[in-house]
Amino acid sequence: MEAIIILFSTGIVSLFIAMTRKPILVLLTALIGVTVTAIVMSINWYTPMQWVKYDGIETDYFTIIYGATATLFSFLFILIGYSKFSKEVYHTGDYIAILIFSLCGALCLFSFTDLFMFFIGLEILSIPMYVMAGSNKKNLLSSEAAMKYFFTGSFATGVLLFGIACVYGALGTFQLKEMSEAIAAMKNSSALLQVGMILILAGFLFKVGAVPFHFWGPDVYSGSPNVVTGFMATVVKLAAFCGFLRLFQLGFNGLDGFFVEILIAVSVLTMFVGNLSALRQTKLKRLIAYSSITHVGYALICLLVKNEHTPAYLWTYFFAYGFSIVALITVSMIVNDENDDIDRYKAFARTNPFAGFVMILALLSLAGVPPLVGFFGKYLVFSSAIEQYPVLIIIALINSGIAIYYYLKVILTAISKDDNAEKSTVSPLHAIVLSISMFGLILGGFVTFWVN
Amino acid sequence: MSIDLIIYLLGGLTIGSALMVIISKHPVRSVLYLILTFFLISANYIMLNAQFVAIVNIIVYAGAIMVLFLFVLMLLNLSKENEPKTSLLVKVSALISGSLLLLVLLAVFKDASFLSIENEVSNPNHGLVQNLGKLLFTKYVLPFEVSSILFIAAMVGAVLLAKRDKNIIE
Repeated sequence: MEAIIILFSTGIVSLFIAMTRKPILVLLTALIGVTVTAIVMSINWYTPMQWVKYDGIETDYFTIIYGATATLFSFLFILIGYSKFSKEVYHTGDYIAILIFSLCGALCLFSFTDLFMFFIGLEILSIPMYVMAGSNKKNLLSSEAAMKYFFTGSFATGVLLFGIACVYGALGTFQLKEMSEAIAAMKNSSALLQVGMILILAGFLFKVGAVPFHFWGPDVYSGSPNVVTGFMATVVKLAAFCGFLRLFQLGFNGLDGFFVEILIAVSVLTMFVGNLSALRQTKLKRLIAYSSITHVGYALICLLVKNEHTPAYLWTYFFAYGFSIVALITVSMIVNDENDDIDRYKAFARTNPFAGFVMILALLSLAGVPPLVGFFGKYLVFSSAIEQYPVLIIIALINSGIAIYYYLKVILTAISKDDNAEKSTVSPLHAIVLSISMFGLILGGFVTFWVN
Repeated sequence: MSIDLIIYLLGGLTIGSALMVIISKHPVRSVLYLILTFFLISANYIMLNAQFVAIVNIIVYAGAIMVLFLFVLMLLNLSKENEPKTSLLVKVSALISGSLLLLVLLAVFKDASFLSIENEVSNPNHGLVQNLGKLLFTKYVLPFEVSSILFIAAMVGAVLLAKRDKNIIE
């Protein structure tokens, strides 16, 4: 709760500081605010401060871990985006504040205990993203992305709300605890509840971009400014997954019956559609979009396993995934190409050895190569489900194999020889972010062990 | 005249006018039907003892949002030539999936038992501003306050997207 208040005030303050027309002050305010939030969250873990008497929010172990991760990634994305934000002096404060507001929504999703906070958190998370997708007003693709995201997103919100209404009709309560008690006390399952749950599930699958509802993904990801794409792929996905995992586990006592079959089918379809479409992409951000669809497919396996460690595995997965995205987005900001073609990265690793090295690490981590953090994410998720769903894990492994092909293609482009290639300039902020993500990629595996 | 009859009549009218919104060809006509639908929904709220929600529904939806809709319609160039054409396959698949959804929802709502609604509706003071305000500022104060983050984010975003930039005009 305190973390949300501090973040919100940081957003407001950076809006006002932007009036001085000094972007560096806005950046400093935002970074200090986000850091203080992370510190307060970790203090909160040891000594809970309970001065607001309302039971809509509850801080537990996973709230802190997920919150710290989302805060870290937002911190990095604000750093990466600063070079773009500061070009438009009049709007620097707006961009940074809107990203911070979105993070507030993510924090609500990590800690809600009733459906009010769940829904408001989800909306606070999404509405700033609709705006940020269209924030590059000179680019038509960006406006198109914002329109598409807004229309499909609000339709999905409608479906989700209808599902919540059905669940309320069946259970008569919004509290997660009372909901799970009501479901446990039910003699035979009610059809109204199941329809509500299916509609909520549809809303969830839309928000994370799983296959029957993935059509917005590639267009929105490639149209939005680079930083926003990264933010959507990491913080928004992490928050949506955590929010719905909380809802399904605490509210609905886990998913079983035909929901398991639905999720298995969606997971398999998501992996294949994402992977097979990614094979033919020639633009880096579209490749990231399709590969993120595939990764959603892997992460959906987490929801199938009823296990007290599931939130930790899911966290590990997105922690690993996030560092790769941070590194790739930084590299795309360094190259700064309007068309975002993969060919533009030719000989990138030769002209910019450090940035190229981190880029290759990031791609290998996405592919799941052992010493890197991406391997640990995949290993934990797959090994947790191998006993219950062996066939599904085999399919997931096949897909990991297919994915290596297109990641290697990008790596080969980056290390190929090209005499005309020019050296891109790496700004100090980008160099800092690249080093942080390099440490994350190499040493992140140990952090995940410590947390688990 | 029993209260059941009024409820069925209102429900039928609401569904009928909502259908007319989709069926009518002319956009202005369907917007007008939408206004009628909003008024009828407000009437339904009053039947459920939710007077405040009914008034807010009229002020916000039938008032503000519908005026916005009409303005947008006037600004758009709605001629028949540039309507997007949908293929037969899309139409047929939309029909099939829509009817399947209708079938499932009808089957579910036919014998659904709604909990906890009957006893609250019987209290006539249930939906007054006083009770609502008390609830909002005691039990539900956190969602109430947190939604202000949502509104300020939406407001900043709207200004950011809609404001003219000097360098774009040049």
